[in-house]
Amino acid sequence: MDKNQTKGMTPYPEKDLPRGVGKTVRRVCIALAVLLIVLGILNGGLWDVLVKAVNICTECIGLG
Amino acid sequence: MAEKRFLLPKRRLIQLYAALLYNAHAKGFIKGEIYTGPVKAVCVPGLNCYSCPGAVSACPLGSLQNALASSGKRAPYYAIGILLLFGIILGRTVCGYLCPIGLFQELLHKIPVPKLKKSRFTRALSGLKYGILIILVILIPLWMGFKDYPLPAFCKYICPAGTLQGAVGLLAHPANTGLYPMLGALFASKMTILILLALVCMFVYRAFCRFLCPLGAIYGLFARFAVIGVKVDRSACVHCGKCLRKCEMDIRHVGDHECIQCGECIDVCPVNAISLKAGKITLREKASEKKKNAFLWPVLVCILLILFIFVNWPDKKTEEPIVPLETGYEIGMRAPAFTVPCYDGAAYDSQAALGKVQVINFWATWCGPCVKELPYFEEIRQKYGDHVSIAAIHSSLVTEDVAAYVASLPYAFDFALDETGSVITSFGGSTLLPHTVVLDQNGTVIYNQTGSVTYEQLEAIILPCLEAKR
Repeated sequence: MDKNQTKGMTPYPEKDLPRGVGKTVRRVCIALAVLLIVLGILNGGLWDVLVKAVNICTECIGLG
Repeated sequence: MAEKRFLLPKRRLIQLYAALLYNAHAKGFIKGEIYTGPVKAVCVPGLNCYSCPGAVSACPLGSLQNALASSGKRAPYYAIGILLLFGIILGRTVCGYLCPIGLFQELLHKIPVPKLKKSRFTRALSGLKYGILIILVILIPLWMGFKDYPLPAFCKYICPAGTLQGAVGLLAHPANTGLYPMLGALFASKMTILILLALVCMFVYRAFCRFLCPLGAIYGLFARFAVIGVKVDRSACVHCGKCLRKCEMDIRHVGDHECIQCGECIDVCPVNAISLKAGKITLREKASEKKKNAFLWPVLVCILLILFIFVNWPDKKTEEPIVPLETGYEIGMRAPAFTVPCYDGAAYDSQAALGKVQVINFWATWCGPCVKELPYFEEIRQKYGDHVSIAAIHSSLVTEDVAAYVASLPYAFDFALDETGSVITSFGGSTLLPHTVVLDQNGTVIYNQTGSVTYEQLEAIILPCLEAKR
């Protein structure tokens, strides 16, 4: 990009988020994430991750 | 109110630290094996293949694909929760600070060759990673998972982290030369992709991150909401455009979904309008006189040292059973005797099966290539009937109701469980599946290999034994 291409461009979005929306979204997402992680531990999802991680992933290393 | 500051060290140092932290299992590089301890249940935020000999943790992208592939049995809460947490807190700061593959690309880009600048074309191309995310990371694993064939499509067909860290990391070690015969078209294509990407990255800044990385695509979705990110002080900004010109990513705005939050724009802003913030705390601002935190590096180094000691602690030596010299798992040796419980309530006894050719396959429901080759064993059983005894022995690592899974299969050979993992170990196997062993009618090992087999290969192995006995 040269000076002419960026002249007058705003480095931030023209419309900012309404007040408080960002904070609310962050709080909801963090709470949801924690809930999902706990549910995942309880339903065996954590164990699935461990089992896959401690075995060599033949697909990942190109062995099929 | 005075602005709070917690100034971070140089970005390159953080990148190097993250790479070391994710791959602290130095013993793995020395022995040519992966870490199998409990820390691997934890996902790191950046792209780091869990088949790397040094990896101490799980890859979030691999975990997501495998979780989606298992959606039929278990909702993928954990993988989605982890990505949501990393995304909302860090966003694409992961890309800029905490991803070893990002670091690798930046170092390649330092090689002095002509550079290709960003353009409308590169901006359009940056949409490709969303297509890869939807098709290879989400749809294909989900679709194949419901067909009971786990397939992490991005890992299998594209991921350069798997090739560089996993394949090269493991195959470079002399202990793994036995895997070379398994290398085929898939390995060739993945290596080609890795080499091409490495070449392109010399000319194009972070080509993989910008155009192909689905993990960056996921984190980019959180750009406007992530706790940590580059922020512009609108009241101070003079719209000079220097930040946009300085940035080598395909951004439209500072901090948008293409921004990796590296903060290079911070240093060029003439009015100090840009800073990296975590909420109200400033993490990075224009070359500051303020002292960096004196206690941060000692704490980080302690964490790294503790992890390093924990994951590299010498294994307990288990007493190996004394076996007659002529017994072993090498070709030509008498195979060790074993008995394993079958899912139908009976037991498979290798000694009782003497007199028949024995085909012993080590597999798991979570192993895609294992599931794919099961029909071949059934074909062999149907064709050679009473002359062949087949046992499919499941890994000790069980993630679902294998009995129910086996009951749904239309195969009539024995399905058993290697309860402690000792049977596969006695045949020289490890964490790499599938693994197939063939014994002749006297119980002598005639085939013992890790990797998939086809019907034709199995037939070629057992036919000479059957004909010799006629």
